[in-house]
Amino acid sequence: MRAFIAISEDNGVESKIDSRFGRGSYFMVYDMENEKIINVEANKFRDEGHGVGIKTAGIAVEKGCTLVIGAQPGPKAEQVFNEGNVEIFVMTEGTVSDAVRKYKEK
Amino acid sequence: MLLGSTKKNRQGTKTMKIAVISGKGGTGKTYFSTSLAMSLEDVDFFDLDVEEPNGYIFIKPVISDEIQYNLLVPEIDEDRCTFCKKCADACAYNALSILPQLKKALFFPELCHSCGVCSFVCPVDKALIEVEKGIGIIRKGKFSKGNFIEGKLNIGEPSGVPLISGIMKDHLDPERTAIIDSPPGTSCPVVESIKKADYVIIVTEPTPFGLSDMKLVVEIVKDLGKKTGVVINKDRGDSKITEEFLRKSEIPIIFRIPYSLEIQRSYSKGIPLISTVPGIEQKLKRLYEDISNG
Ligand code: SF4
Ligand code: SF4
Repeated sequence: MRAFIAISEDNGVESKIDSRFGRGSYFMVYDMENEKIINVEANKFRDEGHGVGIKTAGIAVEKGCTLVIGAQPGPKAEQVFNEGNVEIFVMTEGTVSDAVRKYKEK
Repeated sequence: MLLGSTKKNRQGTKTMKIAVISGKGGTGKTYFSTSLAMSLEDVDFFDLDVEEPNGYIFIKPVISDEIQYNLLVPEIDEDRCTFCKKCADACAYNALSILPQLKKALFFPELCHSCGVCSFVCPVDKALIEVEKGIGIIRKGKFSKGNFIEGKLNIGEPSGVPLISGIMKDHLDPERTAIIDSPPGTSCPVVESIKKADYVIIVTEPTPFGLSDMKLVVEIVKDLGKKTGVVINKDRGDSKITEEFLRKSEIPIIFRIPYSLEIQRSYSKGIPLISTVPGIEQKLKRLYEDISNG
């Protein structure tokens, strides 16, 4: 399973999760089974006005992610995730490795 | 020189566009704006409090037209669409989300500004068409002194801005005086409703709450560079803090509606201010003259 995680810095698995979905500085795609980072890219939409969450959600779906970890997405982004059958795991603080652990413990 | 301030109407007085606003609902904004309109000659009254237009209660117009107000929004045919994402990439408001893997096109009407760019960029014939979507109703009619125009937003519509700007564009006559009853508060629809005004009247109640709401609208009016004056409603002669603030901000108090049980009673029955307080019609006329003479 691929997870999509919005992070506020690019620091591998120690990267901090961004507290606002869609406005994180980077997006990380993470392989949950093999516990491996697939890729990290800068969020070029973060300074846009309304609807960044929709764009971000679209990217997650496009990258084949079926799980998103991070702050609660807005209602419209959530709609995109629902369409794409993407599971939402809400977590607003901690690092990527904390999040992966928490998700697996759940 | 202000827009429209040199035009004259039949009586030889200048025609002006005056918007009446308030920091929040229930300050007597509509009560005042309707009587101001009814005290003048040759005037159009615009009720742009589109979520809850209630000027008609006092104005008692005869309605002759009801027009549905439409916006053009995209509709995507998922059978024709190739999910190339050109439309979503071109949309400056992120109102479209194209999910190629899922062969899905999502549209978020609340974000759409009806700009038409998506239909312009779509390379596939009939994949994305523009359809009309009703967002509200415009009611037009007459009252004793002129035309009555009211906008009413459909329930659930996210913003009054397109309806307000549509009414201003299609129905505001540059040659005529207009009294515009704006939405309450400080949001975008308020700004839209006062854009074309030559003068903005702020109606407030002299309470601490009234003051803090008024401070916010004063900011907006100042940002827009509009001339403004304040009407104090329910004035009991103890409006010190409000007066103090206005003096410091160099905003004149242009009118006072006294606090009286009789006024409260007739207000609740839908009887206009000018029919309640003797002599107030003359005062309102004079107020208009003063405003139009700058
Ligand atoms: S009409 Fe404009 S705002 Fe609306 S979806 Fe199309 S491009 Fe976006
Ligand atoms: S531009 Fe046209 S074909 Fe391409 S995704 Fe949008 S609607 Fe579909």
